[in-house]
Amino acid sequence: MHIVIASGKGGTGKTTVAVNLAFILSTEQRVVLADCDVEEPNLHLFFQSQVAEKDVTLPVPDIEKSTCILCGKCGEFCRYGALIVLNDQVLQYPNLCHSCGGCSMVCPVGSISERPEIIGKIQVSDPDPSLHLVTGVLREGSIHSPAMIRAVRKELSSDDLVILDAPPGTSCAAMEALEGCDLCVLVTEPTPFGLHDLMLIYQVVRMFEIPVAVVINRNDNQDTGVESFCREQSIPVILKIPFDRDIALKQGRGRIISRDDPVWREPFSRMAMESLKLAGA
Amino acid sequence: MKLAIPASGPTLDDQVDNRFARAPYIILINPEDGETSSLANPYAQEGGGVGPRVVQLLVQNQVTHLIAPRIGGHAETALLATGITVFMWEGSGSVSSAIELYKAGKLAAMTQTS
Ligand code: SF4
Ligand code: SF4
Repeated sequence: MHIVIASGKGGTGKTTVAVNLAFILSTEQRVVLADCDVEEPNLHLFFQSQVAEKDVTLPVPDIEKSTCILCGKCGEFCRYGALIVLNDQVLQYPNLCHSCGGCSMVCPVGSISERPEIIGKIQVSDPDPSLHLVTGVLREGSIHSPAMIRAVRKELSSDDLVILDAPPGTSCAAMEALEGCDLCVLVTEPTPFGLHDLMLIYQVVRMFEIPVAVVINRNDNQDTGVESFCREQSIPVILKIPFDRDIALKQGRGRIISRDDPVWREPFSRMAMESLKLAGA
Repeated sequence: MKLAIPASGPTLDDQVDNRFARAPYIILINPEDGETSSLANPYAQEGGGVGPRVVQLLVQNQVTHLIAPRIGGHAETALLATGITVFMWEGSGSVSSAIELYKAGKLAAMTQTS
């Protein structure tokens, strides 16, 4: 069963929800936590332990200069500008390459072969016997978030209980994290902007036909439309986290509030139970 | 020599476009004999990697000099590899006014070390 935590924009508290949901569930059963926010993974800050890592690569063209006749065909073909043919050389931008393989097919003299280009790495660790953490770390400057997320998801079994932390927003990368999940928990703030972004991502999630639940973070009990929107759309609000400096502080120090603060254990436990139910457990 | 200028339209009266790779037209001029032609930019509407592709287009058209506004990082490395001399364009004006400024030696060439 896969439960994905997503949000319409960054900084809504997605991390707080993913971390605490995974922790609470792990007190009862084995949980896999997958950090798919590959441009800025941060779940490992809450679960520090020995890490094993491996590279994730994509094939990019490797051009044999000695046989290239500078005919220009590969540069004409590549729609991503990942290689261009100049008067005296073929200039490559491997970080723009989409690994379509087309350039090697159009080369008339067979000068193009493939080599692996590292786009990032996957780190795995077991911070607790019942908690397995998989983190995707995109290489800086790489445009390949979607491919990186696919690599992370390849590490996950459909038999496991998996909590995925999606990248914020409605990008292609976020879609890669959402697709095929059994429940999407949307984290939002009770502000007009929060509502706007929530509506955007809700439309997208609905297209995937995934059940949705909402967590309202920094709740100040002044409804700015988020709650009425959820009511209208019959989206269950499974947790409200109040605006609290203490929580923000603890979070900032890498503390897990549902573990370290008894007041928080109960609300997160209830939310975890709700999530499992909505996901069809 | 051949001078290229990104422009909002196909004539000398059109404005210099302040986007290099996404300008709808590129005007080509030989300042020595005044011969001009225009090129519709096939990449103006495309997604990513347009900077390098426009540079490739300039090379295919034997461009030696370029007057251009802000240039992205990928286009910049490509331009450096071609040896095309780049003159910086700030402000606004028509293509013909840019040519006049160029002829009067009033445009600064971009240094190769940036
Ligand atoms: S593999 Fe495809 S995207 Fe990559 S350089 Fe070749 S043509 Fe371009
Ligand atoms: S298609 Fe092959 S021969 Fe032609 S420029 Fe590209 S690498 Fe060189």
